[in-house]
Amino acid sequence: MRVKWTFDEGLARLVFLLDPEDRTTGACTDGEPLELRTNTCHVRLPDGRWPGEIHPDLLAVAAWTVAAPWTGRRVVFDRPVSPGVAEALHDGWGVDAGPVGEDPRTGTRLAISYSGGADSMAVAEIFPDAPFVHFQRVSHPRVPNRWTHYRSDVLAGLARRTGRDVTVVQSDLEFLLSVPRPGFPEHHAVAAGALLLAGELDLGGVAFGYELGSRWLGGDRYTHRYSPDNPMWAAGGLWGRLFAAAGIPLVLPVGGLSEPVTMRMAMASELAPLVRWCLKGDAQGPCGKCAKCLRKELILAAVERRPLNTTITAGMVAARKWQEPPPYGGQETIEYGCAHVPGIETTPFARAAEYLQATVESTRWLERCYPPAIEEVPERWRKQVDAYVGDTIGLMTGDEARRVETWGAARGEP
Amino acid sequence: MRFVVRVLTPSRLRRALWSRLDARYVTKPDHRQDIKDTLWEIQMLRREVVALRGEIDRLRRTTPAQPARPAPSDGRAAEAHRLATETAEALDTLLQSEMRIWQAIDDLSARVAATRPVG
Repeated sequence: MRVKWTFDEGLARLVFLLDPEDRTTGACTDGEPLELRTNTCHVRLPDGRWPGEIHPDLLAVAAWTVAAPWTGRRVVFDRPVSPGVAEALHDGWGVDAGPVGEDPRTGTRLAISYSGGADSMAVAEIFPDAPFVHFQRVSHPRVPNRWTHYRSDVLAGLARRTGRDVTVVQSDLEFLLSVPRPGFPEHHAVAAGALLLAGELDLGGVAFGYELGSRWLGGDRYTHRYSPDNPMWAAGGLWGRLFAAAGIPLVLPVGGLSEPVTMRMAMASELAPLVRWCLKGDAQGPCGKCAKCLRKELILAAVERRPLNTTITAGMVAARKWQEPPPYGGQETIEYGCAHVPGIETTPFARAAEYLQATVESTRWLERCYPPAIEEVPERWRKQVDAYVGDTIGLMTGDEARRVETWGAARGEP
Repeated sequence: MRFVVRVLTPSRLRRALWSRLDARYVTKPDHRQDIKDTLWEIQMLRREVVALRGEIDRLRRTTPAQPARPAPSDGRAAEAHRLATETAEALDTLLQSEMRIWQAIDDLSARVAATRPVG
């Protein structure tokens, strides 16, 4: 793989050229099969935030977040990277990376990769002074946009209205994927803007809203089992080491907290009126009809200990997953919801609740923080996370932590 | 084993025996490298399995006859939708082909450059 960046004021264009051993099919670090559509994309930084010179390590890592799935044996960057980044690429992916010959970079501040959902809003609660970097999908000049129901403009508008130091970074990099659909080739591509801005903002870390399920329980598309070595998000995993080598380690301030807890934090936030997880809704509000709205309504109703308020019924597409037996990605959250929402048996989650048989008692461990998640936060920011958790949430007991550590064990190998 | 050898043999003999044994067997760094290489192989295989699985999924999705779109009231709208969808899909194929062609061109020119005599 050969990677080339070119720049105009405010605009960074990326081209990656495939070597003979490179493929147009590949897999995300979480195992999801992917197919490449095209090999160009761009990242646009807003006026006044253009850094001029960008450290080659940052450019290399940003490029790698979209080039990794297709790269076979080696990656050649268009400018030398530091030995640490080359080593992280070699140890993590087995690729020869070069040329080498740049000094490593460092920074001091923490930025939040802010999507506008409950989890990143919870992160913003812990770090009220940290600047936001928001990733906004824009159309790709070579790919007809057939996904206009995704209202990234609405989400960017909500992020701007938070009144925080917000940088909205626009990119078409999601359209590099033709299979399964436009999206991040690697989850870390959402940080492309934070990486390019790291010099300008003096960033020494980037915080994400990945919570307990994503970090420790193999949630979403991953293993659905306890995964201390999670390759995406563990500090010592391949991505963790790569970001650290580029002087911008991954920080997961809510990595030890479950979705019900981050939801409670977001609802208590002064930013709460601006929270938005629905990708389809317009300026008026969430659509209330999509699968994501349904799942989040379950969490919200559970946190507020009230009946589910939705027009979605069990027969609709948005509720199809909950008519099938587990395992579900993020199943711990569904268990919590089924245990806490009164009258669950009359909702689209009735079947799931029957399968899961969760109770208030069996889901109590989700109310507290998993201690190793705090240990994993880089030292510079650990005290603030620790203090917040100590003041408002509390730590899991040994027995509760064991619930995390035995998660999915009964299901055995897939 | 080491204990027995140490008790029963003088040090010179012991050293000779160990160096003999060490020469016959793989050293720790070599083992480590082997394990590293194997892990890498496993990772590559994993990627390939995933890619193959994806290919199967994709084929499975494409083979059954496309379910008819919900009959729109306006025939021209349906025709425009069909055209838009097919054009977008055709463009995807073109974009992929372009990458593969450049991949082949780069490969060829690298090989030509390698075989051409210097000077």
